Amino acid sequence: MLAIYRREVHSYFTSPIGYLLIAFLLLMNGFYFTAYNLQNGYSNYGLVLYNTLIVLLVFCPLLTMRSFSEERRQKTDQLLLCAPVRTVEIVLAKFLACVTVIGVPFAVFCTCPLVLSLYGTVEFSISYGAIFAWLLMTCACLAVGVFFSSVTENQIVAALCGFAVLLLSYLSGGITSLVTSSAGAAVACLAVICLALGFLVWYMTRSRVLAGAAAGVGLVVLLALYLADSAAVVSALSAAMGAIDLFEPFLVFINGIFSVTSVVYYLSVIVLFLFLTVQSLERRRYN
Amino acid sequence: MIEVKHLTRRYGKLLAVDDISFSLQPGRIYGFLGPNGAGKSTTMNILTGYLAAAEGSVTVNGWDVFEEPQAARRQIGYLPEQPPLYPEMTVLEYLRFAAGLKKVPAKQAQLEQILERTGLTGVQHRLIRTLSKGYKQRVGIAQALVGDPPVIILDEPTVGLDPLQRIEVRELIRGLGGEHTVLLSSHILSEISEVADVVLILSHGRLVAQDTPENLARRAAGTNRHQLLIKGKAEAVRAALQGFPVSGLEIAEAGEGLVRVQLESDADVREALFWSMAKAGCAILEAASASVSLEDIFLELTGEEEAARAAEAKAAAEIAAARAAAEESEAAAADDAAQSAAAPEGKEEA
Repeated sequence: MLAIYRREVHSYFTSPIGYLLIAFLLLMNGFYFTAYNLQNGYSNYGLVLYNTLIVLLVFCPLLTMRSFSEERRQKTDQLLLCAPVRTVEIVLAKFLACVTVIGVPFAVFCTCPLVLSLYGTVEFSISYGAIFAWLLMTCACLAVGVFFSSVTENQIVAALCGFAVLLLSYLSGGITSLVTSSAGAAVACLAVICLALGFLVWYMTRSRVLAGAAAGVGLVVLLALYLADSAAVVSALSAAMGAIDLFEPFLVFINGIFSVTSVVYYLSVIVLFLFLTVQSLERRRYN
Repeated sequence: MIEVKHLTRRYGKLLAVDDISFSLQPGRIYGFLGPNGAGKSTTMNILTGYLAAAEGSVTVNGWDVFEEPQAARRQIGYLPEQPPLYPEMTVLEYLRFAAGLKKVPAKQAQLEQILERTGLTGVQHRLIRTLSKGYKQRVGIAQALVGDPPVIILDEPTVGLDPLQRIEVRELIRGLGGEHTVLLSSHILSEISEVADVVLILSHGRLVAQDTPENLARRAAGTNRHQLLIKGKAEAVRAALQGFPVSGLEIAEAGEGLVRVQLESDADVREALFWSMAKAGCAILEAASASVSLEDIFLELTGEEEAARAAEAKAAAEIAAARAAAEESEAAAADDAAQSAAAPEGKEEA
């Protein structure tokens, strides 16, 4: 595991990609830091992180796109998968290498509240809580990106899939307010989610029966729920869209609350997507 | 060392490996021979744990590849069909990485020995992306040797190499025998016949033969076949050959008082032939034993497999046709019975 981790970190820092992405992230944060904190005098560094959330939609897929897809394209995945290393170790090594790259901007962000404290009073707990939450949130986004990198050997496709999913997550709040206006729209939206779930089951198992059963059960339950209580469908959709919103739990930290629920949520997302990545790699042995 | 039992692998409906079983003994060199698509790489990928099998078992040094994959993989050094190289690393960095991956200490002395053995000492600090194809192949082999695993599996190790490099790689593989069990694959017959102690011939996913190249040749030839050019008359030659345990005797006049003779014998009759012809006053001007090349064996065995498949398909088609005919005749008989049963009623109605 250590060998793979070292090689990954080495490859990020011996090619321009690592430096460019870090520079891009720092530039955007630096811009907002100057505008909000230095020029307008806001002491909460979390506001800077909140305003640069959209940067993560591009940053994370670009950082993770080559994790597994490049290995597959170069056929070096054979070296890893034939080595006496467990698949979970390979996935963890790749993921931790990505986390190491974001460790650089994270370290820079940690200095920002200290800089601000030179000019006035800073609520360190709020700022550092937000930075901690940003780290967890970014790790969750990276886990999503690593998963999409494992499903294709095309880096661009991996990056686009990761971007699309993160964008959907980013916009989920707005989409929820649009589709919860009527029960019909909510049913349509949940039906799409059921079908997407069915596709995911098919992709992981290549079993049409299982995928059809998963999507079918979801649709039947949805229909039954709609016929029994249409208002429940709307609340179910709100809950479903809330669950896929990776960015909402971060806002709690900016408001000065250290939410254990949010921490557990981010850790769950990380574990879920790393688990899916392991399954995606193991599936290749059978297909 | 390696025990393979009833190994089967499917790609969708395609049966890539069809119930093959074999065992590899320590210190010997085994050659997988088969045309493209015969299932060589798939079998090797299963042995190394890269692919799963639909059925069957593989044990390496007693470790089950599917049940205890880490322990089994520790026993194997593998060079896949396309060498798994990271172009941005130097050769030495790559070998150190391979050592880390295999969880063995990257001792400088051992790495230097591998570099020396594979002829990479001069390029050890060069980036892999700048190396020629031949050197890249060597780096792949060097990677397989890291950790000194007891089993070395090489999938088409000489592909893309020039003739000189091929000879060098062959020498290297020969040198690995004895210390390691080596399994290499190739669709080039000469590669296998020159290096392997035992040849395993695969065709359409089936193991059609497994023996030493010499035994395979003997088996394919069936008998010792000799061709002679003798100075003398055909009758005298025929008389001299009376009582010899030979078969397939053909004697033909070759002009200018010469006779061309072809014969087959299970026993070695060369010396007896010489004395018999000398006694008859017939000088043997030329004598040659017909040899069977591995190519002949390969074509014969894979041809047999093709013929067996064709026969199977033909038999299946005949059975299907017979069934269809039987069903048709049954249906016709049922119709006749129905008509004959309906006829009296009609008469009654009439």
